[in-house]
Amino acid sequence: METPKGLTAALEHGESFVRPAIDLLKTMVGVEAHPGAIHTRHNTQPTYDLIVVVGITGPWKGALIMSLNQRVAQEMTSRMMNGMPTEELGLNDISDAMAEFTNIVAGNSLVELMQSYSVSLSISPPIIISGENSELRFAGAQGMRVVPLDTDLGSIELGLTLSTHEEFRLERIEASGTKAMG
Amino acid sequence: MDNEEMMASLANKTVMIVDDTSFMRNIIKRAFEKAGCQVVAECENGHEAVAMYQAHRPDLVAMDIVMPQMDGLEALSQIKAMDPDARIVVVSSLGTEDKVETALGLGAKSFILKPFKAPELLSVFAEALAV
Repeated sequence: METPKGLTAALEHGESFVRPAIDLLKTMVGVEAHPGAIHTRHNTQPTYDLIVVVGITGPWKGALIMSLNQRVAQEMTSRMMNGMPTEELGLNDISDAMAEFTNIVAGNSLVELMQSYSVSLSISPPIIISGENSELRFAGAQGMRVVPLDTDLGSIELGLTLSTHEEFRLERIEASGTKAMG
Repeated sequence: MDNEEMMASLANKTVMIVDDTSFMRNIIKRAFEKAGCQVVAECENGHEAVAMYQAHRPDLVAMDIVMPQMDGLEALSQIKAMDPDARIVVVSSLGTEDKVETALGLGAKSFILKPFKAPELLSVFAEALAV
């Protein structure tokens, strides 16, 4: 299936999801993020052990995938909760905060994508996957565009996969803990 | 509306918060409680929102859009069918033109894009009470 030009451009440039993430890290977490080079990964496997997936629906199907170490997520959550001590944060607090953060990045990104490429898209509720050796696969995906974000708290990885494939779906998750929000 | 008028209009109002993450519900709850509002219900999805609205009939509703089971636009529609005077403000990260138009078309008083600052949130809700 031929990939539409708009979708290819949206993936190549990546500004639509990088800029909202940097802005939100500053406003919600209070950290400066420095993006590395945007590159293509030929699978959809994230780097770190805490993974948040927000599905993208519409004529383009896909997902925004954020991954980070649990320790980084814990520090982010503490800052997002007005400095609540990290030792008082449970996994549910961290999952919840990371889900909301990724949800806002995805929502804000979609606004830019839709304005830039005249396509009508929506998002689905976040899924949280935690645990080492988590494996994430999407049917119909042709890899993802990835950008590392370096912050004082540690590294965060954002990935965007988009497809026009009708059968695109989350196919396989293997992890010690998976939680669909809600 | 200045800050004093805004706080006076919100004082003692009952509020229902609908969002699928407790993180966001807590942020919204803290803002309302500082304004003297009483949060009478918190819901994780649209189904709960419809049931809890019927039970509590709050003065104001903060409604997320993207939620499991039933989304916020469907819940908005069902609540407005039950109570055309319901004062519902949509609070969402998905501020696309079509979503804003749909929400307002279904009877939402306003639309706030996440992330927001507490004074901005309260100002929009105070205005929702005035119209």
